Amino acid sequence: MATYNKDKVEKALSCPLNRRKFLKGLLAAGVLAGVPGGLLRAVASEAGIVYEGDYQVFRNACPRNCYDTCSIKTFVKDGVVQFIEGAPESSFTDGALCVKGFSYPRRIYSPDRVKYPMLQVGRGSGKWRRISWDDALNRIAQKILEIKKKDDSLLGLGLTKYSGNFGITNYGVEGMMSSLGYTTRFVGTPCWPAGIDAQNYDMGNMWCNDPEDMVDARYIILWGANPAWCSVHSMKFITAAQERGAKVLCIDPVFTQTAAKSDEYWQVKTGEDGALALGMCRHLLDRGMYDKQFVSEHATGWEDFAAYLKSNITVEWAAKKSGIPAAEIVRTAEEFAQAKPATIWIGYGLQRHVNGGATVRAIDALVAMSGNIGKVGGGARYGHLFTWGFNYHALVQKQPEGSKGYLGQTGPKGEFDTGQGAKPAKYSDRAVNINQTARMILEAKEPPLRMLWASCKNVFSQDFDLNMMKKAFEKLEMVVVVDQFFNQTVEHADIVLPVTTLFEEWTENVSYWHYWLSINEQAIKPMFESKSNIEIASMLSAKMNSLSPGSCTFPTKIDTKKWMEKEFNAGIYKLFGISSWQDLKKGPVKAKLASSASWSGLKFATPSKKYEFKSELCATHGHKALPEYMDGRKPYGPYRLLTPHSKFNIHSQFQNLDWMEEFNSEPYVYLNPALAKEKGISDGDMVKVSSKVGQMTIKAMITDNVPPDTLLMYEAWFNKNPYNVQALVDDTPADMGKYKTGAPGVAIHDQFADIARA
Amino acid sequence: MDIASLTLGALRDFFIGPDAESLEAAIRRLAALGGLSLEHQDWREVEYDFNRLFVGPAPPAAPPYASLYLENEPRLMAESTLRVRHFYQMLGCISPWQDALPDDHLSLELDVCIMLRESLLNVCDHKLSELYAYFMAEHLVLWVPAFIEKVLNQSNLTRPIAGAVHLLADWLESERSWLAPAVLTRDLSRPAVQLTGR
Repeated sequence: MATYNKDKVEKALSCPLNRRKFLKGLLAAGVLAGVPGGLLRAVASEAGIVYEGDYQVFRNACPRNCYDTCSIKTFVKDGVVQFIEGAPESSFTDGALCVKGFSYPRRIYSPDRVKYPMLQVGRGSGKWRRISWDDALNRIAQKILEIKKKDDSLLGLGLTKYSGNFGITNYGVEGMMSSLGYTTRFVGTPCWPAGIDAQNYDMGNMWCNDPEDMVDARYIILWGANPAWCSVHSMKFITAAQERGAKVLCIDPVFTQTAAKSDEYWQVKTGEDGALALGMCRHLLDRGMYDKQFVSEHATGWEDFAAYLKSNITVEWAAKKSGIPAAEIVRTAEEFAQAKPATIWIGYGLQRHVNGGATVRAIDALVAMSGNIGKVGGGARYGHLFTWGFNYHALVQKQPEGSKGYLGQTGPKGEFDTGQGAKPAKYSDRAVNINQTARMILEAKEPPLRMLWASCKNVFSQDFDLNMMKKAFEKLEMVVVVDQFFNQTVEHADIVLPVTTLFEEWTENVSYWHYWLSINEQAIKPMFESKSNIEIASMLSAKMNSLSPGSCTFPTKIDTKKWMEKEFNAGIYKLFGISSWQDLKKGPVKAKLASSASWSGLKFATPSKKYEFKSELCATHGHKALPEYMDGRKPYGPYRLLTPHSKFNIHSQFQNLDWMEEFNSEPYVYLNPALAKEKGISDGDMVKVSSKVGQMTIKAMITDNVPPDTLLMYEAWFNKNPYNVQALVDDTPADMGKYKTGAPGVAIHDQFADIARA
Repeated sequence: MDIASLTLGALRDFFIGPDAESLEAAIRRLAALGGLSLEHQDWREVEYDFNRLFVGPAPPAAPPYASLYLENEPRLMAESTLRVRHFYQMLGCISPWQDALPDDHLSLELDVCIMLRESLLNVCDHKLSELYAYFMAEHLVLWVPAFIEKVLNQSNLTRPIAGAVHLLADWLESERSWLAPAVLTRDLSRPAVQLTGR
């Protein structure tokens, strides 16, 4: 029989010094020397165990596709992240994270993480084998070589990657593909392309004011944006402006949390935002309440735009189209024009329409004619890529000698493609539309798409038309997914490779909204066998070269910290006023801006160097030269289906974590009480939602936050749940996006569906 | 090594087995020790089942990490995991996978039990037996029964996995007689689940 003194043992356990002393004699005598075949190792010397008293602090940054790109302070003890905080040095992050960010430790240490490279025997069978990295890479490399042999090119190998991790070194995934040869790339962005093109036509670039200068605004319109959920750090600047007397108007088909915090809310008819903006423009024109100096000296095409407004637009027409009473339009247009400065935050939601680009151009025009472009506290705020001037060292890789590829026209490979890197002399990658991924896989010929590599991307959750996607995947000979969790894409993979979280890799991050730069230090060892994207690339290259020397140019040995360093350059250092990336260890820094206002010098980047109410370039690209009203998509079902963002997740990340599940345990379709009554649906009833591309059975929740003609389902990936809004959303393109991102956007909010009790 | 240590060694290697071959090898050792009857088995199916239960990539049904059964808000690398690490440190030991694989993986814990049992066979030291008793009573028996129950509640369990889990339960039960009476008040009884398997 054994006895023990619990207090005594625990006292010894709790203190490093006592731990060493407890068995000192026995340890010295080697009594506990390893048992043959055992796992645990003897500590070589006492120095082998690091006894740390206080926390080690690391600098990190949230790399998700989110306005806020928070600067993070990470507290590590015993090699384990204990907790994280928002960095206080950034006046944007300001010491706090969002509900998702604070949950990061639950993510790093979730038992649900993909831990090892694994092979599925029969795609979708659920029969998984754990394989070594070497085995996994061997299978992948063999397949790549087989494709090359069969097709005499690697166009049969496709890459789909988007915004799952915006850390700069993660562009090494694209680099890995280039280092193999010319491949098929899914280009474009489902997020914001129509608006990017629109702002490029109007001003020559997408360039927003510093969001922190919203405190100086006297009137703020939050148009199709829900920062109370999706950019929580921006809210403090909006609130501060309100406290200083600014009026905040929220325009959205859905009564959002942001709407609740605004002074006024307009429930616009979905997709009719352009009509509303043009109605306001017409009224300001009639009243002469526009900036005559701006429109004559700093803009082109004003007369044509004014003529268009006079002959085509009336306030009454705008009221009828948008559902906002004429008197309200008139009053608000005047208030907006009289407030100096006034600003509009153009949300990404309102451009996810077949008329999305035209809508953004109409809103830009309203901000421009009211004289608010180039003003501190003003501006047509959409986003920017002003701080993204890194070397893209990981991205820029050369194709192996003699690689063959695509012969045809090429364009940018997404909004972050700066055109850097070696220009292919003859061949190029084959670019296909990321917003029609399923269709592109099915239609690709000569050669067909044989193999798909997905990284930083949950294809099944984020790409459109789920049923078509399932068919498309059947056509693929091999699917490799690099991910952290077992989502619906991993379910359909042959091989899954575990990738590091942000705390397990070196990189750097900037935002497309604010102007801060953060270093992302590796704070802990990677859990299990996870590797960063660039480590995976170097390991694949080593394998490729061992099987077929010269078949991959990616360096086979890399130091990930050095690769983080290699992304910096003199331009970045100058912009941020630092002498070395090491300065970022003290905390994030903000770009040294001449003004918080974009376009403060009123020198635009358009062909005319002026604001272009009339853009010939836009006309050349097949659109209207003027920001004319464009009809929305013709309804093909009885109710509009909206699939916006929830506060518990960013796309398919975070909702699977236990903390989120506790607050938001299951998905719903939200509908208005009037519609619920008509359909005999009560709260909690199971209902069937069906569209022309698919259907879903789901619980209903009744709320008057959504209009009576609308069904709302938040896009999300729920763990162990087949819920997927893409089962109902088709891949119809938005009007714009091809110019700057390589492919048009997608009309995510121009979708229609029916609902009935299940 | 005595039979119990040999059995524990085979269980340790089973629960951390990376593939069908190592799972089969561990089960063959258990069979040779007389703990299990070896039947015709598709070991690949055992591997799929093993990964479904303990590894992934889908959320494993019964992940073999102590913290997930001991913490109020279960997660890997929790406070209780670090206490296990500190316990290893007390014995002058370290996991070869420290900071990558949680220290409280069942196999690492079985390994430290073997080490303590074997050392106690060689040297009669009160502090050593005190540590073993402490680890058993204050740690292992607080979570392993719940883990066993989770596994045995799974439908369609393959026979070798069910067998290994029952041997683990048997061993835990046998250690009861060795532990102090105060500890016996804890409910170490085997979960009331019928041995089923495919």
